[in-house]
Amino acid sequence: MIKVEHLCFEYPGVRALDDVSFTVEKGSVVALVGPNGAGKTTLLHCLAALDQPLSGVIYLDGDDITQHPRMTHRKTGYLPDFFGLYEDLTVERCLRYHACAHGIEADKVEHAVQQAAERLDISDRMQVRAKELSRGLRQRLAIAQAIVHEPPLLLLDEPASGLDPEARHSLATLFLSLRDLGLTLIVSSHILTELEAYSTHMLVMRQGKIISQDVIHGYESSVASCQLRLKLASDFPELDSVLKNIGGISAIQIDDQADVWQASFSFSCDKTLQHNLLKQLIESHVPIASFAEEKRDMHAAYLDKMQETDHV
Amino acid sequence: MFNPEFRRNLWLEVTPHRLIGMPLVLGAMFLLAYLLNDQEWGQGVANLALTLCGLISMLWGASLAAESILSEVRSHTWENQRMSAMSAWDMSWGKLLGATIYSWYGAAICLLVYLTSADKPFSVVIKVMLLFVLCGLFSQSVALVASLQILKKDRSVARSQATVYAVFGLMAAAPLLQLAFNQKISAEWYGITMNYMDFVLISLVFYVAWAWIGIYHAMRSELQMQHGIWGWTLFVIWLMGYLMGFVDDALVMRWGGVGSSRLLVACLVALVLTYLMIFVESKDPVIFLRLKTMFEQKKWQQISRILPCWFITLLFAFMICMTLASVFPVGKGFESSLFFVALYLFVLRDVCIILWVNFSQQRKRADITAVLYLIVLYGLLPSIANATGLDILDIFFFPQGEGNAFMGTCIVAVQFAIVLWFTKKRWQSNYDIRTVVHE
Repeated sequence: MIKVEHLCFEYPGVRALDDVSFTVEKGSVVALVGPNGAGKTTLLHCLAALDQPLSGVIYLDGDDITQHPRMTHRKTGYLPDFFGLYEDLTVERCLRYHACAHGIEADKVEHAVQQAAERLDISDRMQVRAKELSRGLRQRLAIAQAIVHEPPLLLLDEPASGLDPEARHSLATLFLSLRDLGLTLIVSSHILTELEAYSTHMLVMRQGKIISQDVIHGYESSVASCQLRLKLASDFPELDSVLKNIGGISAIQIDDQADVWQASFSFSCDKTLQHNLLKQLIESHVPIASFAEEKRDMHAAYLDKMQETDHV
Repeated sequence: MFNPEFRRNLWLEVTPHRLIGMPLVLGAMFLLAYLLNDQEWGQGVANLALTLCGLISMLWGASLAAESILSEVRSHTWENQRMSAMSAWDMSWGKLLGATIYSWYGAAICLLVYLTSADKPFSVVIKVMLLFVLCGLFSQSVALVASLQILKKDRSVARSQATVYAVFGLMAAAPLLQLAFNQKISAEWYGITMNYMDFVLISLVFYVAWAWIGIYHAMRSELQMQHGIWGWTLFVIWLMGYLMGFVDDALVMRWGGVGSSRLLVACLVALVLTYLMIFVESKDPVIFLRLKTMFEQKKWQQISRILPCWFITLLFAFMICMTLASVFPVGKGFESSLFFVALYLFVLRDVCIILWVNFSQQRKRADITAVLYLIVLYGLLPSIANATGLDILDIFFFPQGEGNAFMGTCIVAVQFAIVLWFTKKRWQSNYDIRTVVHE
């Protein structure tokens, strides 16, 4: 759905995006993570066609968005980090304005307003002024405004900031339902545990560059690789050579320092192949105590990526 | 479909309480004027009605027009508006007429009072009413286009008071109002004589139209829509053509011919607009970096879309100055021709000074610093030279038309070359060799 090629964005004297390239599949939920100043908000601005990059191309459904910014605006919903509401308008009028401003036909506005309000669970507050809403409800109204025209792409910059745990949970539930409706979401956030609940991919940024684009555990394809961990019942010095002789294994790390011998390596996520691998290891007389997929959470994966780039 | 932006403004601006409040307040003021004028519903009340109409539409209305943009940026709703599907035109008139609707409500009441109280022929009353409506529209349009243009340069100006932009609007419209009430009966333009009030009214229609085109262009730019150089180019040509029409016999006698007099007016327009726009427009180094990138990639069409307006008027100034250098004034020879070459070199030097200041790493208040430098160069230093009897040093500060014209031109050429070199060096050290600072 989105294809970004060699994107560069510059503020005076500062390269905010530096040769950024990535793709986003339709229907995926991409967690955009990285430290402060990594370029996440600038990237979202470029994807929303609100800023012109210095160079590079962004394709949305095959169209160059720098050439067709208004087409992008029609197809995209955007919730900025610091969003604003028309404080003196009621929830119903806020939604009605956004529906009309996004070109929804007059006879369909009522339905669009009701649907957005129901999705965000604010339909019981339609006649309340925006300034009278709580922080969580304001966030919901802002998201409802962003999706009232049912855009295929939704960009959210720190949508959970300032929300209490309950509101965050319901926000995660909302994003899951939007994902189920087929929307493509790109969510920038610092709260990785929540991102993990609904994201399918993680895009890690640092110093204006994309340092990794990973599939999040549970959304891998059958050919994707998984991290496997092997624990042995006793010492087995030949473990390294045994593993190296088996096809499909990579990134082997053997830990023989502690009392327990263990190894971690990359292998296919395909269950049949994993079954065959276990059989081969047993046939090679490896004293296996346990054999399991290593489930690293998003937070650990993110920190690993950050540490990797620290060492570069 | 009804313009959503206009309707949103109606929701916010027009409430029952406000609808009742305005006539009550204005009614009380007119009642007071009626009582103070010996209970006569006449010219005294009419004068108050016009004054109030002017203040409400040209000052308050202009402030509301500017605020329609500034408040959106301040309250973080502008990004949402930029991402809407509304056309630039719908957004423009939705804001211009929607945000000011309440001031027009008040102005309409004042004009109604004027209509019923003015002690003048009906045709004059109608023309005066039309004049105030057009001046109000012009003032509001100038305030809106100024806020859009300056916002494009620096988003932080959204924190400034809308009244500042209203003053811009008032400054643009008030002289026209003053002209309309001039004692002159007729105006002469390109030899055509017409009623003075009629001429001001026709001129105002064009001014308002150009202001609206300006708003539309600025709005397109905010919505990331591309547009070429034609809007600005046509405006510059129109303004030159409009002002050339005022060249009269006295000027022709003084400047040695109709053609050269009109060219001088065009030259003045090009120079004033160059200086105006270079201060109004953004000198963000990234724009120049983008221009350089496009130039290297030979993307001429894209270059024309982001070319600053001041650069276009600078080209106009070049063409006109060179034409004048070759034709004006007939019979006075080489030295007077050099005046226009020197004049253009002074402009180029000033442009480089302004860019040099803006290419600093500390770009805050760069334009104010540049203005300060220009005041020193054109005011302070020549004054010191004159005060100390060194009038001969004038050749360093102003273009010369006689005497030391050749030397003066050489001196300004050297000044321009030095400032250009410094500007290029600063650009290369701060921006062209790209530094990556993220933390």
